[in-house]
Amino acid sequence: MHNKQNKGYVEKEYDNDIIIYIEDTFKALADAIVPWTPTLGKIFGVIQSYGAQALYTDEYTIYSLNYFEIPLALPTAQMLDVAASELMNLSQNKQYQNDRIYPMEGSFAFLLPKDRFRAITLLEDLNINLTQLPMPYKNNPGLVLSMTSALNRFVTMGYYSEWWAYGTTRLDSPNKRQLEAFPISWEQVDYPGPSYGYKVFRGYLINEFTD
Amino acid sequence: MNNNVDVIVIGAGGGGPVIAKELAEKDIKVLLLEAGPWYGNKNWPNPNENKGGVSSTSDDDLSIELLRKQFTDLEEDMNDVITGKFRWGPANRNESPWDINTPQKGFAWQNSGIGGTTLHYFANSPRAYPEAVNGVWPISYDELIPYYEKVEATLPVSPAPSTPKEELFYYGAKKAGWNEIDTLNVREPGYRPQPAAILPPDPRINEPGFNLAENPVGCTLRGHCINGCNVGLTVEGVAKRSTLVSYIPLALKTGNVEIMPNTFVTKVLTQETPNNGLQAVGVRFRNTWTGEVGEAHSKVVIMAAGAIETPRLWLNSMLPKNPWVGKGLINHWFDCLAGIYEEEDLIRVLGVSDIKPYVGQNAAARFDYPGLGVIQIFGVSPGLYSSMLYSTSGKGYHFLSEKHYQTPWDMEGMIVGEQLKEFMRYYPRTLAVLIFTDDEVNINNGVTLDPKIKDENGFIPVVRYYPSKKDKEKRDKLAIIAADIFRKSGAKLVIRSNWPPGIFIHAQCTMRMGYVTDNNCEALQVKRLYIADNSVQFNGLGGPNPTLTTQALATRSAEKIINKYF
Ligand SMILES: Cc1cc2nc3c(=O)[nH]c(=O)nc-3n(C[C@H](O)[C@H](O)[C@H](O)COP(=O)(O)OP(=O)(O)OC[C@H]3O[C@@H](n4cnc5c(N)ncnc54)[C@H](O)[C@@H]3O)c2cc1C
Ligand code: SF4
Repeated sequence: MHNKQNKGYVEKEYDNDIIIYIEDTFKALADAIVPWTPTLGKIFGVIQSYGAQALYTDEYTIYSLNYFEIPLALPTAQMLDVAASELMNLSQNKQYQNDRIYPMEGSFAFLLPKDRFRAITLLEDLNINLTQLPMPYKNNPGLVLSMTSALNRFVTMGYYSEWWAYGTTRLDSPNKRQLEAFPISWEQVDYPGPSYGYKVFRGYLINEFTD
Repeated sequence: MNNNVDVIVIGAGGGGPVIAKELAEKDIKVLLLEAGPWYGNKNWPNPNENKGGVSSTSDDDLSIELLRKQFTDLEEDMNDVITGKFRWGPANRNESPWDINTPQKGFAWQNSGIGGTTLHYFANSPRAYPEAVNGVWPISYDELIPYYEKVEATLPVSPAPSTPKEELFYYGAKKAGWNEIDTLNVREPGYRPQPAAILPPDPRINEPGFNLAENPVGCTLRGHCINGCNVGLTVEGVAKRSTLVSYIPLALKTGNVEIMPNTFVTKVLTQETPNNGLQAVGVRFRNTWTGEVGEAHSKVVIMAAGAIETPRLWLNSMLPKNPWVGKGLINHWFDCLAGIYEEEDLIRVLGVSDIKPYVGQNAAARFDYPGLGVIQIFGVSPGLYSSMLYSTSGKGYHFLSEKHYQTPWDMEGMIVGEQLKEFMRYYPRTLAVLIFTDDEVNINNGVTLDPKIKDENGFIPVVRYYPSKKDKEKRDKLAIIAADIFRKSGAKLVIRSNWPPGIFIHAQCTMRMGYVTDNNCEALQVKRLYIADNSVQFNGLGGPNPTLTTQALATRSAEKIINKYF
């Protein structure tokens, strides 16, 4: 598929291991929300197997988070990790995911997909010691709530919109992107993409309003 | 730029262009300042890439060719809340969006740009419920009617056409026992087509020889209302009537209006006068490309920056204290529900095997219930659809929630994993509705300034909203009605998103008439300062979408301003 891009969308000054850490965390998030689904693929055709990782939805999420005045991808990843550790402390996680090796510490990425949502739920319920969070989330329940409630939207907007199809231009400035493909996600949901219109006019329930 | 005009209007969204046009038609010189970019104007051929011109004063500057290039129908390009063309941020998309602090689950969905939030609104243009105004507002419903009529004729507004998804909804509503209604002044519950500020489709649209690509006049049912709409032969002929294509061209035609995009007003300037006390005399503003600061002066200043930014600007301008400035926020506490249908059931009801939510206007059928609020169908492209239906909830993840006793819906909360993909596979057979609650004004809800965080435009706004117990009851009742309509029309699976209260789409009432302004929308404490956006509304109208009422009030205020000051 597409070539990997430079890592500028993560943050130019980060060391490689921090970059990998951020990427793994958001892969784990995106992958949990829109997973690789071989079962659907078997029944409905291989196109239905692809998930968020194949469509680089993790990159979209990181790119979006780092577009704010203060880049938010790293602190958000760290926040997810604090929640994951808390989940493990509470022994609420069902099991570790052992079949994946993540090069950096990053307990969120180690969790099973279902437990990742349990960790996010701790944040959504503010069931977490807010002093442990990195800035700007530290002692900032409002920001914790508004950001965690946005994470799912980021992932599905990235996945089901045209973003992946920007291909090699996807991480360029928004003005410079070009569609290079037809989005896999659109094929999955049977969306034909923009059209000039549809000949499906069925008249009017009423022709005119009265007063 | 002419920096000594009769009237300055701040903000070119739902309200600002209306009052600008009404005043300019009476030969008053108007300067309209807008924080965001201008699409479809020759002075800004690349509005997101470089600063382009300074202002525009003529409708000759408008270009449908540019608009077609710029409104790409791609939902991420147009509607991404962070980098999209329709976001709350500067024209330069390489820069960050502007910050609005919403310290709870949720976000504020508004746009900058000529057209403001109407750039992506659905153009649903219902009137308030009479019972929410009469005996409640400081003015009567009858007083509003002539102004409603004028706006309805100008936009213009007419009943929305049906495609399969509307027919399915009407079928379900009828089977559920509700009446069809056909009135603009809704006093009883019932279902009806959306009063739509969208030019009706060409009656020949279904004919095999009719060429949709050749820019026909009127709606082509292509379902990109939320992504802007660029269907039309000219800018002023575009099907969906955002103020960008309706009131702005009319304002320019008068020859009395100068419009400056990329211009953020950071302060309302006032002067103490011996006879009239404090009065507005002009504004200070900042160019969003260059950072250059300037001032302009006028006899009257009109704030139309929206229900969040108008109180923010008041507070940042250090205008007099008033306990209601920024307060009383109405939000219509939204919710979403979806119904998923089987092919055979759709064939039985409609004769076709799917409804294709991306076909037809984005929200063309509605159900009104005075005393409770509104249910209206919506169908948009898949990124927005999945984020609104399955990724937004105040109830957490469906799979983690405890099983409740019998609910009218099968599932509640966010949908993730394989189940999400399965549901999205049913996208062409999914009908969705939005709920708007008739919520109560509460002085504890609203906009304040962040005490610490400032951006280049001043201290940023903090928006808080918590519904009352009664609001919750009303919203739940609407959700039950919606679920019943789904079932009656044959839905096999009904999902309730249960949105958190903090999603701001219909923000209103933060500068309420009678509390912050007088009955003519002039600020009580600052003479010659008027308000012409959603913030001046007295309450949530009973639930109906707010823009038409804002536009009617703006039309009325123009008359009052002329009578008093010109
Ligand atoms: C997805 C969506 C769909 C919607 N659909 C509908 C619908 O179908 N029907 C309906 O009635 N309503 C709808 N709404 C709501 C509708 O968009 C608003 O009611 C309407 O736009 C409000 O008008 P306004 O003038 O108050 O604010 P806005 O339209 O937001 O306009 C304010 C303008 O002021 C500018 N501005 C702000 N601050 C400054 C400043 N300091 N200096 C200069 N300029 C400034 C902004 O950039 C903006 O252009 C929808 C909203 C959303 C998000
Ligand atoms: S459906 Fe919406 S976008 Fe499409 S032509 Fe009609 S108004 Fe325009």
